[in-house]
Amino acid sequence: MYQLAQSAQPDPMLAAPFRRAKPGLFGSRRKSPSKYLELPKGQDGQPVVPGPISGFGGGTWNLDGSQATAPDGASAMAQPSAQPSQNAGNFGMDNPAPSTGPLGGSMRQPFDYERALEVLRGDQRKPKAWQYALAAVGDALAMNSGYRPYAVQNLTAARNEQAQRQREAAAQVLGWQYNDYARNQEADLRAAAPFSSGRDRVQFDPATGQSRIIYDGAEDFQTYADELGLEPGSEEYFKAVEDYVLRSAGPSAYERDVQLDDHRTGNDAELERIRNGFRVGLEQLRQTNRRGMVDYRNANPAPPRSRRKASSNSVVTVKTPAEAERLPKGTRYRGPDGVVRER
Amino acid sequence: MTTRANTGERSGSFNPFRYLSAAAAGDIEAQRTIAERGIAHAVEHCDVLAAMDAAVFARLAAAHGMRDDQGRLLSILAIVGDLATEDEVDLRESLAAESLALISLLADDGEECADQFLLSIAEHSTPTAVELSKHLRAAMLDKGE
Repeated sequence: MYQLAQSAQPDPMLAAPFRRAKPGLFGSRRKSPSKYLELPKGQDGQPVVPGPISGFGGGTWNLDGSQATAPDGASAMAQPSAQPSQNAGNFGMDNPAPSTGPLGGSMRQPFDYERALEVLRGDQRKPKAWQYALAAVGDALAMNSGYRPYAVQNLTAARNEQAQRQREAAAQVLGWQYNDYARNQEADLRAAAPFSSGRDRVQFDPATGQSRIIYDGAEDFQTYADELGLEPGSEEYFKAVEDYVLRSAGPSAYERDVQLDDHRTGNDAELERIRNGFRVGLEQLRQTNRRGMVDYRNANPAPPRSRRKASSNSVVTVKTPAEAERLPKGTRYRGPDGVVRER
Repeated sequence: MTTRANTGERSGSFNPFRYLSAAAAGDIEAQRTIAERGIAHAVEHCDVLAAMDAAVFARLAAAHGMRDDQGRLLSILAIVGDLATEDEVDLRESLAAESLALISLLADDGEECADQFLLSIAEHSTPTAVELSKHLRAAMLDKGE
């Protein structure tokens, strides 16, 4: 009479364009409560029901038709539409407030592991004791007619599944926490690793945000000044430091430049003095040599250019003694021998 | 030949409409099939609505008076209560009340197993469910005569 549908056949129920993930056995959700359930009425004519009643379509309703509790899945479906964009990309984060700064607040906002664990483990429905007892009674009665009991098995399987999901969620979150801790630890260690600044080794403390010098290496100028045996802080010490840093423009180099210039100037002056002495000696020698030389000038002395009368002071040169005899009396003359006589 | 649904089978290809007319005509096997395959489908998909649909046909089958069908109804009610979320307190209490009423009737009918668990179930139920079960029991016993 009634054959079960074969698995090879297409399933029209699964192919139906259901808009809800859990549409029920017949693919539709009934929202109205049962109107045909007659309940005992009280003295005021109202049904005496201590609480809302459940309909076959999921959810519960009050007697006036208003919905008391949402159907299964309604809250999960309504949640995304309530805040469509605010929660986007903020899975597991508390208070997705707009953050400031280039890091977007990710370094200051801790991850909400509690929320993540809650989402991962899902709805932890644990069968109640009365459900186990009820399932036991149902299975016992069904077994009498040869049916395979499944209620207790399903409840146990559901409980095991929830427990497994709980364990997996806890392990997942624990893994995240460990990875987070490891990354933080690694970042701290990386940030706290000593680094070189000049000749110094500097260490940054992530806890305080301060850096400290763990090894103060001597700079080259300090080594130079120390090797000279100078006392740190003294004037000579800083002079040596300036010498090392300023090199050829340092104070010592300047002094040596001045000394060298003075020395060269002295040499130049001495050389010039010597050269001038040579020049004077040479001129004197030249004058001495010229004095004894018989030349045209000596042989032909220049005529006297004095305005005084020649007779008074002039000396007449004669070549022969006869010329001297012809000179007037009282005339001075120079003979061929060069001796000046008076006539 | 009538084939009973096996809850262990995969229910993905189950088409309840094939059995709907027969179930509406009172065929208990069709009602059993929809109930069992429906609850299997509900468990597989965690669909509380499908479970409550299956419970409807389990109620119809149980109404024939067979003890095993009544036991199947109790099992399905237990599973529906398990599929309901923690927030659906009213639904859980309603199911607990219906279950209490059914078990009390079974106990009255001399079922030892039901009598054995009746007190335990009542102790673990809320006062609201116990109070509601009384009214449901009265409604079940009311044959309209």
